[in-house]
Amino acid sequence: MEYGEHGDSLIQVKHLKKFFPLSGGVFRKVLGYVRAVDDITFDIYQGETLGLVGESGCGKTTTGRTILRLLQPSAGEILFDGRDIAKMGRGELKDLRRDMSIVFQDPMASLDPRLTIKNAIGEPLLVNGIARGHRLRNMVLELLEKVGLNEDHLNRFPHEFSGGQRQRICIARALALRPKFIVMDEPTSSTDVSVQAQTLNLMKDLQNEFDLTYLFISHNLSVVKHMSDRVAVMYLGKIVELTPRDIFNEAMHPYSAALVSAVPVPDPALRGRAEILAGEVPSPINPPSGCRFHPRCRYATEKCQDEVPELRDMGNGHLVACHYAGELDLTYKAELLQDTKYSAEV
Amino acid sequence: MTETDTWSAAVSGQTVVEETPLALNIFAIMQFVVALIGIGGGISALLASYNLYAAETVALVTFLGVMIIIFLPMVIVGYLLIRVALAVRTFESWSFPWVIYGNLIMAGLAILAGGLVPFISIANIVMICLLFVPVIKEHWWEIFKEDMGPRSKETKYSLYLIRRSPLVVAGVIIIAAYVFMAFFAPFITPYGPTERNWSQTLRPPSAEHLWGTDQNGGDVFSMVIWATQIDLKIAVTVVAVALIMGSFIGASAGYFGGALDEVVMRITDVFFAFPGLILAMAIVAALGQRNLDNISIALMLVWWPTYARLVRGQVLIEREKLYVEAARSVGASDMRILVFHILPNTIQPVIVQATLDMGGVLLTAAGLSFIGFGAEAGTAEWGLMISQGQTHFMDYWVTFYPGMAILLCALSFNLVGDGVRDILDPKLRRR
Amino acid sequence: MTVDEPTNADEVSSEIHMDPGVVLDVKGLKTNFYTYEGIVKALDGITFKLKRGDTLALVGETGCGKSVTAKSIMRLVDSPGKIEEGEILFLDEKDGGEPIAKDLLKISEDEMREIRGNKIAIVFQDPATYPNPVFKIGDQIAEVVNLHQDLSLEILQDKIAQLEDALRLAEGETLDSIQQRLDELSRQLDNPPKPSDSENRKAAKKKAIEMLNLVRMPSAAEIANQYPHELSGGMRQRALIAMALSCNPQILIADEATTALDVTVQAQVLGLLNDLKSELDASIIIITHDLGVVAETCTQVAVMYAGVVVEYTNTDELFSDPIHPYTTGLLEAIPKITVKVEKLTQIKGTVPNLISPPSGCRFHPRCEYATEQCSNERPPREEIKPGHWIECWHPQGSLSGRKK
Repeated sequence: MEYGEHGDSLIQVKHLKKFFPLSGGVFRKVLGYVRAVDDITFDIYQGETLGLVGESGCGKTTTGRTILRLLQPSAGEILFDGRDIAKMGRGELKDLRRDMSIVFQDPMASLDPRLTIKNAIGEPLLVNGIARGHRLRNMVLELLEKVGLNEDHLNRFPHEFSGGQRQRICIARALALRPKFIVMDEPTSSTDVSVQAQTLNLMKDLQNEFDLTYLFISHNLSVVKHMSDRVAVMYLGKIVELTPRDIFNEAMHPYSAALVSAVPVPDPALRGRAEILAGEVPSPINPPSGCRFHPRCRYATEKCQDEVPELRDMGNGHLVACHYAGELDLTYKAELLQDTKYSAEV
Repeated sequence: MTETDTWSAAVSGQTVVEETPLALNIFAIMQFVVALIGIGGGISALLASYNLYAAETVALVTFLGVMIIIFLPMVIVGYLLIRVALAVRTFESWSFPWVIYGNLIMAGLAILAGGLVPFISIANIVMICLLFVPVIKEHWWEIFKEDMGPRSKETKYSLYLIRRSPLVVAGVIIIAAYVFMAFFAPFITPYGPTERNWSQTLRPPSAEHLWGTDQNGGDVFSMVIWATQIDLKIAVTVVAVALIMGSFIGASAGYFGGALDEVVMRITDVFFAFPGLILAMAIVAALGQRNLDNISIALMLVWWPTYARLVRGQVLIEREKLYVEAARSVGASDMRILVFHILPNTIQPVIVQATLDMGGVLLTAAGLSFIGFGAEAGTAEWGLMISQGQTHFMDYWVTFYPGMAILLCALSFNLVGDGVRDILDPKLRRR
Repeated sequence: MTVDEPTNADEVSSEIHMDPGVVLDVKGLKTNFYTYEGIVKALDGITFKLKRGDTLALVGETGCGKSVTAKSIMRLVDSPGKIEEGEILFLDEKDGGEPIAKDLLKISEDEMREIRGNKIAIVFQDPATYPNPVFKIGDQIAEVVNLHQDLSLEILQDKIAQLEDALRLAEGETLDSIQQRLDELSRQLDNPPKPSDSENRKAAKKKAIEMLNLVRMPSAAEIANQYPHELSGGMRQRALIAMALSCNPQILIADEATTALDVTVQAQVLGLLNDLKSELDASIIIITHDLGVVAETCTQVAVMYAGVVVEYTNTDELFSDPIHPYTTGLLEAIPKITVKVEKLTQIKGTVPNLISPPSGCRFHPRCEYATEQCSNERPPREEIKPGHWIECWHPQGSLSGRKK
């Protein structure tokens, strides 16, 4: 796809907020809120993979779960195929569950250790009244073959499989109801490099075969860049940058640039280019005023402390939430990247 | 009939006699209605074109309906009979005739239901046989075999692990020996449980009396073996009831949380505030008579909070696990998650606790009998035997053998419990 | 084609000779695990060297045996595991004395305990689970210090320093008595007296705060008074590094120490490790599966697969000329930030079951260049280029096609 070209919006998130109340004291009073997701707005287009990156505590996992309505949003709208699902009741949601599913991070933990994988993968079919008995078995077998496993594996327990195989079982389960949209929550974070390659290739094949839309959540920037058509960077509950372009070379937000620079790259020539950010990520209970990133940003001014920057379109669908977007010279690292042996292979 | 109880005034003997035919009529009508429902359900099941699921549903509903209609009156009458029995104890005069009437009613109901028992049994057997009819068998047999396959693998591995630890094997063998003794007591004992030979008191062990006699002339050997029946029965029934009751309450508290959880936890707090033995003593005293049934009830009440807490804790842990969220994300309902996902994963510690508790209950029951709160004087019960033998301590056989019996039994339960815990522990288990 | 570098017998030792530039020399290490399903041959002849001041990376995927290697070096392999054979030569430098070469697999448990934590320290992966949650961080570090170090000299020096301060402010009679005491203590400097328990504890705490400062922990004194759960992941990991470094070890092993951390925190911690290496004159072994981390921080690399070191050379050489097919496969399977590909190159197959590992070369079922020879014979370890060792019948990279 060219930049800026895309299908229709499958999902539109508008001003989504998710706060977790903190209670304490004898009478369980509400002391404050963890502002996990604090007013984010973005679209996910049909057939694309939107990558969502950020560090722990930035709210990316919460975003994925809230869009799926595993969590109740505190405010905002989530339009799925035009319908607002943010306030739907349980009954209506049940039908919706067929159209979207999720693959979790830890495949071992997301499979019930007492169920054989036939029952695990068949559960969505059983619960939604689609199949039972023999028909269920055949459908499960089909799904297993799609993810590269076979009949021998049908009646084994999760602990008898390797990590990569378990993740494929979870993917098979996510596909069971032929959804339109799948949230991948850090799907390869607990697997090795070679297994990761297999899993990512599988995901791409499945996306092509079934015309799926993915929300790919990860903290691994290289993987996200490989899988995604567009990348969104989150920091402390807000989206700071959303771009269809190359996030590594054309980051416009200081946080994105620092994040990108810190990714260890398997090339010794690029050693030592990491911009070490001072301090730690602040607590989401009491986020900094104005731009959330300003205490750690080397370009911060008073304006950054007072005003919250909105996402601005810098052209071609590249959105940045920074008062000085486009004016900062963050591209010095790109020059370093030009001279590597990898760039010669492009 | 004097009417000291206003309640019974409304149902005085006269009234009952007049009302009885009507009651019987009502009951006959109910039977007829039930039969109609049953037959109708069966026919509609047949007509549902061998749709197994529909047929099953109708059959189940019919069965439940029948059970309710027949057994509900039995339960009500039973409760009334308990009230009557309690009144009899305090010599309330209205109650004596009611003992007769009440029991007659009960007998009638039992005959009516009893008359059905053969039918119900035949129906059950026929249903099971029907499952194997080829037309129906092909629906489920292979999948059933497939599902059972991995479970039997796991069970075989468990058995292997059991074989590997000698202490567990020892424990299992000893318990099996005890169970054998309990079942075959009438055949292996030379004397009955209440047989007393008053000329042979306090004889040391000899050919006639293997382990000697106690101060009442009862044969120690026979009494120890007969006592196995009583003690094992108490241990097993108390643990079973406490387990079921406690698990159910604990699971609900853990899963639904909120006010229910708070209430249940406070109640268990109250129970935990008292030492088990003392609380059991108090309950037995409150129930009035000091006999074995009351010990059982008392111990059940003392033991259920442990299971409630245990299961609640496990449910709380499992509830947060990722696979529960995954199940929710595919649309499973709360009930399904609770029954199919959470409960099977909470069984393990409960099994361990149950095995260990059997030893504990045994000791407490023996202890209660020892201090006089349990079996009536004269029953063959280990604790009681030790208690009675205290005064003749130099005649060691009177107290030694029952004591050893308790020791070995409790020890073997503990061994098996420990072994089971190690076997079921997923970390130790993963090869 | 040499198998090992020639060694110089320079230092005092009974029978073991080690090159003074090498601080750890692992030769032919084999470790097995005896389980219900069979014998897991976790390590099958591991050989590598750690030179003084180097940062060596043990790279490999899950199941390749890198953690087992670390545990074998520290002799922390418990049953059902057993170290079968091999040599782990360690150049133990006693303070002030001559360095002595020891075979860690042959010395007694008491001697090993002295080395563990003291001369060779290890930092594990998950900082959330392994510091003791009921003790404060400062106390835990102080405990390690107390266990291994004799602080009597430092305590004495402290006392002297305090007295010297007091001397400056005193006058008259007190001046004389202070001077007297000072002389007394100075005479003891050569042979410091054994301090009391409380003195030891205070000194250890002070040392703990010093160590926290060394790892650039902000407000170290306050942090020392906190419990592990009150710190964030990055700070906890830094505290644990401080614990590991508190006895000034010669070797620091970091077992996936940054895997559980965020990218930016990982960058901080890796930078810290590199700076500390030169400050403390230590050598580091980094165990990881992330080749990016290797490129960032390490000077020497040993690539492991299924219990075998398949390639061993310095970092620049590894990335510019990877020779073993597994290494090349691994490098190609990583998504690159500079190149956008449709599909990542996969290494076909999966990691083998080590109970019945493949015959001959353990990688041959997954290798596209494998021949019959590869399944029959295990390739010998050879130095195919200067300083570049591999175990392969069909090397690739710059030497592809060289061998048939």
